[in-house]
Amino acid sequence: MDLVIATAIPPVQYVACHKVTEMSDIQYDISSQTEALGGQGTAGDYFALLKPRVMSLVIFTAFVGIIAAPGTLHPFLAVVALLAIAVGAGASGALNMWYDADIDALMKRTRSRPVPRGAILPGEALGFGATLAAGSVLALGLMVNVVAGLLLAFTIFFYVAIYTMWLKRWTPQNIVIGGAAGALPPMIGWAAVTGAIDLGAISLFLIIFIWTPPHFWALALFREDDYEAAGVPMLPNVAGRDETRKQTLLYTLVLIPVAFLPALLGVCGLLYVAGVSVLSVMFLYYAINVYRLRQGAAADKACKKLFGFSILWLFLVFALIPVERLLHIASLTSVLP
Amino acid sequence: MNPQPFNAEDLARRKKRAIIMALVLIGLVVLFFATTIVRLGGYTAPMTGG
Repeated sequence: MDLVIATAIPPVQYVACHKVTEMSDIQYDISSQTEALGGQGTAGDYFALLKPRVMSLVIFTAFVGIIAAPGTLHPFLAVVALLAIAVGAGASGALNMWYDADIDALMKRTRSRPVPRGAILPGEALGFGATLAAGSVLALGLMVNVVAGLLLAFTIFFYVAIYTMWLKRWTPQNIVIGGAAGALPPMIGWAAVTGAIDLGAISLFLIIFIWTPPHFWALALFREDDYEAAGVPMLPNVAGRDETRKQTLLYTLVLIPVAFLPALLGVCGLLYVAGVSVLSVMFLYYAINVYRLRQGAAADKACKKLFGFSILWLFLVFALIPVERLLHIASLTSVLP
Repeated sequence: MNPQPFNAEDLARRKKRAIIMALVLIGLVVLFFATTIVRLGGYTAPMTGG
């Protein structure tokens, strides 16, 4: 049986030429690094395919969506919803690693991932990701509700087909539009409770959507060489570092009022407003530093600080919502005349 | 052609993966059963939304 499987799988010839676009010139053959037989991956390799760090952020934001939504959901079904959303996010990660194996092999940050390392074949990653994607969508749709299931399906489709296969290699606006995929989990969590998409859910979506560009451009500014080597058209490589700094500051200026939307819509209360005010001033300070400091180690340090703080900012802004619920703090709309 | 393409280490890895897969499947059976019981209690949003 093993022999039959072994002879049925052709040696890997995974050349990325078919994906080359006008803006990225990716020519990398990972066949020398992959085993032809397959079946070499450990359970840990498969777990790494799920991008567990990204998954943890998805679980957290989806949890906040569940908490913020009006209505009640049985705690067990909330856990089921979070599990399905986490698996769906993991499936997206696996499908991303399948398609991006060629450029992952070229970047320092990603070359030790299971597919470019040769531990898992591209086809195995594809099968694993597709199975998990179908399973998670069906589970959420059947066990929680159809709207949440459809939203999860759309999220996976958007991340894999729109962002990974199309935008990432084609336009420096890749993470601006592609950020929608990362912004959808709180909306899925909200829909799991209400069975609908409301303005409150959209406000949570908008926060992550507008937060994504300054977050990733701060990373791209100090990882520019990595993206350059892989031929990924990130904004610093295409429009230049100064333009990226300007765009980062502009998106930060848009992000600050957007962060107050949940309070204006009655989703959050005064603690949220106070917390977001302080955190947003700090975010703006780091973004101004990125715009202002343009030379040498100080410039790199400013980008790293903004990148690190942006993660903390998102975590704390979203954490304020369940904290308010725990403390029974009234929503802003209920205390205003 | 090599008649035994998988060595002992490969087979041990495969066995470990198979055990994990079996545990995942058992977990899913429990999950579906428990979800059915909970849903019968009516603690959920309408299936079709709205």
